[in-house]
Order: sequence, then C-alpha cells, then structure tokens
Amino acid sequence: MVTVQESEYWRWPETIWVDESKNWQDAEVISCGIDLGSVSTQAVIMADGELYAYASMRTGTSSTASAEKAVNAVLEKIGDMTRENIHYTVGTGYGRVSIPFANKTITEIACHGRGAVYVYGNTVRTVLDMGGQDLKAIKVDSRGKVINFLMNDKCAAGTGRGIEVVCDMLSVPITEVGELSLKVDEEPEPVSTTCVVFAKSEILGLIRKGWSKEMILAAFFNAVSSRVVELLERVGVEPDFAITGGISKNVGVVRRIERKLNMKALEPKVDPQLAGAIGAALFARALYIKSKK
Amino acid sequence: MTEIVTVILDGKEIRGEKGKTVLEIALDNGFYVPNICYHPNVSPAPGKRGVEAVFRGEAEIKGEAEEYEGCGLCVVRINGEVKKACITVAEDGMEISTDDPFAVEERKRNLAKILSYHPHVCITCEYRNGCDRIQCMFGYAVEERCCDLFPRCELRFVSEYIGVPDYTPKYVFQNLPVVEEKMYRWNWNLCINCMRCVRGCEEVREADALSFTVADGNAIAGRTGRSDVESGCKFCGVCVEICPTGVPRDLKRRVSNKWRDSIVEKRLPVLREVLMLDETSVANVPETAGVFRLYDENMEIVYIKGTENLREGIAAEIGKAVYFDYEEDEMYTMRESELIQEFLQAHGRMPKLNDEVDDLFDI
Repeated sequence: MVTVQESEYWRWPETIWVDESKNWQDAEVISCGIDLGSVSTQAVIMADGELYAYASMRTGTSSTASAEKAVNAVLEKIGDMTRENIHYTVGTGYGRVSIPFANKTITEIACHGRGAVYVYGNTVRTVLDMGGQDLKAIKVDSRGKVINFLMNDKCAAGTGRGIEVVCDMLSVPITEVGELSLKVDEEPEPVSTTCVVFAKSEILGLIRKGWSKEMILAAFFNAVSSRVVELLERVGVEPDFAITGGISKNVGVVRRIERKLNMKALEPKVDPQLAGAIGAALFARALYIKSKK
Repeated sequence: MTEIVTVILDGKEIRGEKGKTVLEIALDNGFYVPNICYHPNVSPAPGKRGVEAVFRGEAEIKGEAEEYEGCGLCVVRINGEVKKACITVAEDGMEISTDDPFAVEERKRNLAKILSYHPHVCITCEYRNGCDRIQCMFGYAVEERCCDLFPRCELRFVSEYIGVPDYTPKYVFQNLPVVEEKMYRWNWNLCINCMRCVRGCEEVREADALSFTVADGNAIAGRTGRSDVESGCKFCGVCVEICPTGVPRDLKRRVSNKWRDSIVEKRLPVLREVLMLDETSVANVPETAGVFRLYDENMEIVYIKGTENLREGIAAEIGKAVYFDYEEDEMYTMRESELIQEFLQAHGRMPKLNDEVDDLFDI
C-alpha cells in the first residue's frame, strides 16, 4: 500500500485488486485492457468478459513504462498469470500508442462508452467521463456504442488536475474533499472560474478572507459542476446518466451535478475509473474470438 | 436547345448556359469562388432596394430606401476589370481570373468589414478543434465567441478559405436586440446583413416580413414590423434555413414545409487539397505519425484515423475511398478525437467507415 505523505494531499491511492473467488484458468478467453490516461493508468484483466483483476496507478513520465508497471502490478497480484496467458490486449487513452505489447488500439471514446455499459448496466445513455485533464460527454446506445460526444482537450478547467491542485492548497487529502465540501449549511456562490491557474489565485484570496475549507471546496465544486452541466446540456442529457473517470468518486462534484441536472447518476457496480480499460478489455475479447473464427 | 457560352476561367475553358452569371457557371463547373450573400434559391443581392425603416424587436432603425451593394466576396477579374461574379452575366470568350491579386485583396478587405461586426474569435483561434467552446482558454467573453452553429457555419468556412486578414478590427459586442417569440429567436448580434433572409422571405414565400434600410451608408437588415405578426410573418422558416450565421433559429422543433424544404444546402469551400487514393500519391506520404481522412467521390469524409505511420496506414485503405488528405501530428490520438468530434458536430453522426468496432459489440 502507498502511504499518503503529509505534503502530498493530491496523491490518490493506487489500487490493485483480484477476484479471489475465481480461478482464471477456468476461463476460455483472458483479455486485457489498458487505459493510459494523462494522470492515471488502468490495466484490467477480464476472464471471459468478467472483471477478474485490475491495477489503477499513476501515469509516470514515460507512457510505455507506466503501461508496463500497471500490467506487471496486476500480474503480480494474480500471482500465477504471465503475459503469455493473455490472449489479446487492447490499448486506449491518449497514451495508447505507447503500449508496445497491445495487439490493437481503440479510441478512448469508444472504450468509455462500452465500459460504461459494463459498469452501469445497459440503461445508461449519457456518460460523463471526468478525467485527469479533459472532460467528455458521450451519448451511447444500449450496447454502449457511441452516437455523439463532446470534449474539451484544450483546456483543463474543471478536471482532475484542477482538483489535485486545490487539495494541495487546502491540505485536504483528495479522497476526502468530496465529503467535506458537502458539509456546508448553505451553498456558497461558485468561484468565478474553473481555470486551474485563476482558480488558484481566487482560492488564495478566499483563504485570506478566512473562508473555511468546506466553504472553499463547495464554491470550487459548485463551479466545476456548472461547467460540466453546460457540456452535458450541449450534447443533450438522456437518462440514465452515469459518470466515469476519477472524479466520479468525488461525491461533492457528483451530488452537485445531480442537483443541477435534477437527475440521479447511476450507482457503479465496480470502480468507475476503470470504465475505459474495461471497454478496451471487452473489445479485446471480441477481437480475439473474431480472429479465431 | 439552350444556348451555351464558353468562358476562360483561370486559364481553363468552361461552358455554361447562356444568361447565367459568372459565379453560377464557375460553381457549376466545380470551381469555387468565395461568396456569402449569394444563395442559389434567390436572386443576386446587389441592386436590391430597401425601405425607410426596419425593426429589430422594439428598436426601429431609420434610414434611406436605397440599394444594397452586396457582400463583395465574389469579386474576380473579368477582362481586366475587378467585378462581382454574382451579377456579371457570362459572355462568350470572357477571361476570368479568380486568384487575381487585386481581387483577392479586395475580397479580404470586404471580409474584414463583415467580421468587424460579427463575433469571430473562434474562427481565428488556433485551438478551435477539440474545444467545446463552453470554456475558453483565452478567456474571451461568450459574446465574442462563435455560436453553436460553428461546426457547420458557412461564414466560418468562407473566412477560412479567404483567410482572415491581420487588419480585421476586433469585434465589439453591440448588445443588439435578441427577440424571442412564439416560433423563432432572432439574435441580431449575429447578423452580417447579407440580405439572404430578405430575399428568401420575398421570393420564396412571397411575404414581406423582412427588409433592410440604408443608414449612414450601411445596409441594415430587419423586420418590417415590431413583432412576427405585425411584420406579416407567415412562419415558414425559410429565413432560418437560408441565414448563413444563425440569426433566426427555431425555438422549438423544426417544422417542415415545401418552402423551407426547397432551400438547397450551399456548397462550402474545400479547405484542404485532397489527393487521389492510389499507390502513386500514397508513395509520397511521409512515414511519420499523423491523422488521415478518406473522402468518397462526393468529397464527403468517410473515415478519420490516427496512425503511427501515415504511409503504411493510408496504403492499407486503398480501394476503400476515392480521395484522402493527411496531417502530420505526433499527438495523433488526440488529433483524431478532435477531428471526429468536429465531424460529429457538423453531421450528427460518425463518418461511415469509422464504425470499425461495430461488429465487436455482440460477440
């Protein structure tokens, strides 16, 4: 386990998990999906299309090394599985080209749509992917096929990186900011910008004014959720609605989005940060079966 | 038998029906001449006479019942003289140059004039692809940015084709009326006074709800009454269909009718040169990372794909389309998403061949 150092409040815990109740050797197809994002990397192993093991790690300075690290971590956790046991690997995410051992790469948009249906069930129609450095609103059909999407990759305002910065400023661990932001009697006015740089100076001002951490977080997440809701409305929100990506674990942001949309977000069956990698692993399984026909 | 005229356009002999304008003949023959106030459904704009007053909501604009000069973007050199191609009837033996430096310069000047009173920061923004235009990283005010029609905006494509000159004045938000009524919303801030709606209303629907007046030398479009009913609007929606920028918009669902459906979609300029998708052209493609696009015979994009090796990637597609173009980009995964997003927003669906994972859902 990684210990949170006092000075690094942004540092979110890396997780490695394996389904101990199953034996992967019983499965016919072992597929692997790797989502190499700007901030985090997920490696997912699926046994016959069911989630078997995963590793969720921070992306380092080298994309290739980050992919290697995640796959090695998950294989180590499983123990008796080697790379040779994996039938097919699909890479996704912006760094997908830097995964040398991937058999194929598929865009993260397609993978998030497919993965969201696995994580949330086939009633999901609108997926909001809140990643480390960009936001995507994706509309899917019942199979998880993308029918429309809108993203902003030019501006990191309101994304995971921004939240990391705010955590550091307020000395609150990133896993706790969501809860904390909900502990306000009255919702404060949103900060005027979600731009990471400008928000930082605005928050410094609020700290000086003596605002509590709860109030500052509430004001920031209020602004983040407004920005996201605008994006969603541009593609049109159709129920059911779900959030994937790292920020989906931040209840402070999620509750505020729900309030503004007047719609409940679906409850995930597994860690929603895995959606992209799960989608990739499901495509990997299908590609393997197709190649055998 | 229709009589045929032959003209020389940029050194090539082309033919067209007698009586047609230089602009029409050029477009019919597959040559693009920039234009904005021209629309195939209506008569040419220059020479059109206005009225003494028009309304934008409650605001009355008083002026003279004078003539509209036209947008001036279609100027070409004809037999040595710079003229508007949209009102010059083609004659046998005419020598026409579309890329004459004087004509090009005048076109730019006229474009700068149009853009000076129309929001345009997104048109000139280097980051216009891959941006949701909700959050502006340069901090431009919403009023200065382009509207949601941006992905398929005619003015944008024409501006990109002509090239926005450096001397284009900054757009200053005028806070003009935004009128919301039963059927439509009129956002007069977006109006470039091309008078397409005026002619559409008059000629297609034979109503006179729209007109223009000339105040201080500038032709200003508006309605002939303070409200939709007062102006004699017949609610056909031709103006919504024919407007190049999105001044009138449907407030509810688009209501279809014969007048509205008769408005044809204008051909937009092709902004990038495409190559034939064959072994000879592909051999000249660099072996670098980038994104390529495939086009069918109608120049419609059918596939957008990022690849680590452009030459290899494109070579594998020979036979699947007619033309292609490419751009080198190290961050091609990102660029691919940006271009797909742009296509999706303009067409409301994915490019035809981008459904490559389609058969993987049911396995």
